[in-house]
Amino acid sequence: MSHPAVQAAVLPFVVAGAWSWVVVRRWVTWAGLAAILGFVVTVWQVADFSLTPFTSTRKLIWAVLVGAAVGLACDLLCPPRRLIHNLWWVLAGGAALWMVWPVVQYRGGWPGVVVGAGALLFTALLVALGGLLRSKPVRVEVAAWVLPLGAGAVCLLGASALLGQLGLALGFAGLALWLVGRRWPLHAPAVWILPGILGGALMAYAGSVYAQVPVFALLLLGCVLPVLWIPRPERWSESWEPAYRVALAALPVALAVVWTAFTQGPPPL
Amino acid sequence: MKRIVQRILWTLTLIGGLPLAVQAEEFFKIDPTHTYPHFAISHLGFSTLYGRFNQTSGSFMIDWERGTGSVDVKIAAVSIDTGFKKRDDHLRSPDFLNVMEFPEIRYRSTRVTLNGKESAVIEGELTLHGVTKPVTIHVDHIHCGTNPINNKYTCGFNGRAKIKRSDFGITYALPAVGDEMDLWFEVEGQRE
Repeated sequence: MSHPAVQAAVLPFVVAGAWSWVVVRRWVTWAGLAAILGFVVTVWQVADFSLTPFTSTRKLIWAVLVGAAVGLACDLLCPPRRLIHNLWWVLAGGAALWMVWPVVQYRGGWPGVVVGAGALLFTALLVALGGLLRSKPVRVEVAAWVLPLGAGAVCLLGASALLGQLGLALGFAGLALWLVGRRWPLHAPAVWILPGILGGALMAYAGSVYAQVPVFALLLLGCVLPVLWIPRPERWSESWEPAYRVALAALPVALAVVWTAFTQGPPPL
Repeated sequence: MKRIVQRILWTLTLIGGLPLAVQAEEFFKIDPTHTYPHFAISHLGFSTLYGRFNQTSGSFMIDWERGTGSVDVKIAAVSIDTGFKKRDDHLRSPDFLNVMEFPEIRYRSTRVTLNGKESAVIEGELTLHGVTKPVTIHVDHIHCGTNPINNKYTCGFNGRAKIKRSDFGITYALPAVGDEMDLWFEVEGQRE
């Protein structure tokens, strides 16, 4: 249990897989909780839920948890609407600004503005794109696990094992849920989509501000959602759709990982 | 007449004593090029990692008459140096020092007790990773005198302390990477 790979990959994958497998047949909405449960187990293993000192990493963890709570409320109380999705990206931008606020204050002036505006734009844009894609569940579900997985991988290479483990946990838990969803469609539950994309975006940006994730790798990760708009070739049948979307989303992630590994070297474990 | 002579003598004594009283408190500015905060921490119980910080500033005061003083040391967290860049980057990340968010490590004394001319106990507060906790530094060597190279009056001291990083909210990789840390402060300052 103390091995980083078990904490960041095996544990969240097993917990999320088991929960979704048991729950999905009766309560599809609640199956979406699997990803956040896998993430919580990893937080419990590698960090904690305390509030002091209220560091950027702890803000990030709480932003993901609050994102899951907002998502669950959306699933239970209201159907997917544009107004709700607009609220998502506003909240996401606020969460990103809140996370980097000490750095904005410390740097001051234009350097501070660049960090704050970058966090706000990067996170709000990705979450807004996630909201727009919600009408296409296969695409947005892929983004909800590929983005945090990629963010975790680049953070790990960019000298923050903690951010790396948190990102990988959210990604692997989402992957388990996505695999279960191949048999019992989940219809892109907000309780998974919102924290998945929000968490991935926050982790990637935190990696570039607080660790050594190159800006170019961050920009590549920012392409994970836009590339999902590329239409599937007509000669490919519908059954290839999930694999095609995974391949599309994985391409910028792979480039980001290769670029980070090339510039930063092996992880610091 | 006798009274006047007595008053003059008292006045002279007071005036003469004033420089002595001023001299008893000596103020020093820390010389960053000869001040070395070091630390040691266990790596998985196999080996002990020694590291240091390369940028230090601050000041200290010694009051020889009263056997007391004060210390205010600021350390740039980003200047951590263990001789291996990748590890230094990791130590600067949110896993450990989180230098972007908490760029300064600061130690401010609350009480200094000199034990003669060569040792002292400094009680104070260490601010690390945004958390402030009381830390006591045991000084086992003090040396003051004129630096023969620049002719400036200089004082230096060596102090050591122990902290638990978990007390300061740095909990990543516990217990594999040790919780208890040894700290050494080799400080040199020139009189202002």
